[in-house]
Amino acid sequence: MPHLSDADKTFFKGNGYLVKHDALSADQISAAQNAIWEGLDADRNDPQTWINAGPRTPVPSSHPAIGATMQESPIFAMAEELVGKNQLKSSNPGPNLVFPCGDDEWSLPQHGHLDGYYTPTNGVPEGTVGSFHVGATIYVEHIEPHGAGFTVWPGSHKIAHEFFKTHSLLSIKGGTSQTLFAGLDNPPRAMEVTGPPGTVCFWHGQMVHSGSKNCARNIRMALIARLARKDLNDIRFASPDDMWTYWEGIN
Amino acid sequence: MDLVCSPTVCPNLQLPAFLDFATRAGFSRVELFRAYTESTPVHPDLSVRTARQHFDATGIQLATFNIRNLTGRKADSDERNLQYNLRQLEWDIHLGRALQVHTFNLKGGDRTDEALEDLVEGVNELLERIPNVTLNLGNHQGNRLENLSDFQTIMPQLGERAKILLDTGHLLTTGQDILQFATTLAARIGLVHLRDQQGEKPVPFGKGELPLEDLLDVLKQADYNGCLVIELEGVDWADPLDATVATRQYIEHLL
Repeated sequence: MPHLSDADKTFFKGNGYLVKHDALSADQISAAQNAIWEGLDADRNDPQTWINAGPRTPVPSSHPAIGATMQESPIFAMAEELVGKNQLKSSNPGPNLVFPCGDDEWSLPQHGHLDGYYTPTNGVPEGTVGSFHVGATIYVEHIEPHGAGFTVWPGSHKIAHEFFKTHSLLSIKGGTSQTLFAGLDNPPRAMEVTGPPGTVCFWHGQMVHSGSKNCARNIRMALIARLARKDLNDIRFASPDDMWTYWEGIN
Repeated sequence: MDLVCSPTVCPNLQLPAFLDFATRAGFSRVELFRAYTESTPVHPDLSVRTARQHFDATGIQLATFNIRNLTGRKADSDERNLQYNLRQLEWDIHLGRALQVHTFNLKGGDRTDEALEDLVEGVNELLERIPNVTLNLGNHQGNRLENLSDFQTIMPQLGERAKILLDTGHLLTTGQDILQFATTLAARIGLVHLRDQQGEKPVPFGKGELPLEDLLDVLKQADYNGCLVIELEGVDWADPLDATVATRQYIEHLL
């Protein structure tokens, strides 16, 4: 029984992202929250201590409760329904938290970025691009509007695909969207993804995205996975006419 | 032995112009560098897709690709981190594979024991991770791999798909005996970069200190059937295209 409908896949192709709710059980959500709280420098019962707390990655992705959100839920199967059955390498999501800032001056981020690009601190080796096919951002806490929801620029995956047909993957310093959107009359507009715990947002690996400021009460508890095809090294430089060539699930 | 055109003679030409240059100079094979020359396949205005289209349109084959050095260190901080460096090299190799090349050239890091250790471990790890590629380790002035003794130390520790890139220019620069180097290491030579020099200055072939005919004899005796890359640099004695044509004809006559 498939998890995604034809309409889901059509939406993903057109927009580059797809939001599904209720992807985790109550126990999976609770276990992931407990694991995260174990590593936080804040009092779970005192929201005042959550403001500008830390760390952003309180537990490793190898923590069983974190891994279970991908390996013991339908989320990996959903990703396979997009990219193709048995085509993806298994990978645990990593916690990526944004703490409440304590003020209410929120706005959508001006610019986004593509993942996998070198910065001096992100671990990506200089002069390489850490390519992958589909990202999955999983919420294990309720993310309200203005609560640092994962922010996407719908349609930017198509712009990126066209851009990289004629430009080096390395031509965008830091993966910034400014280069990608330069000269466009109608660049995509940012959209914040909100939802209850158990919400998952799938996004194309060349989708412009960003975090945003957290002006809400809750800590933005998200887990992010970047899933690549098993044959990534054979196709990472390919830019076929049909951008869905390597997406058997929806091609 | 096949002759290959190096972009060192025209470092400012982007790939399409370099392929046109090589065609007009009478070559059917070229090499590329990851760095140093504008014909790099990571030029911002070039994708692998368009690079392949340029190769297909000219019928020229990419024979070999010079990737980053295996220094065992991070480029931005100089911190020792072999795995970081290997990820860079692996990315370069897959880039080359996408351009349908399977022969890659690299050099080492500083002249330290640490760099030697990382070079041995790193080359073997790359060969294990990536099948069907050959890695040619080149000599270079001041590099961990500079002289005969360096190669005699390292080559027995490396897998069979690790070969030697014999670079005559750098051997001349460091005042080494090219024929002794070639004779001693003949069985492991995977690629030859040819450059004639007077001291450190590149000069027309036949006008410098390179014992080219004797070197070719050594290579023939060793049944070497790989490529000879013609490296002209800083050509100030003729138009670069004319100098390249003349060099090709000169070496073809000797083969």
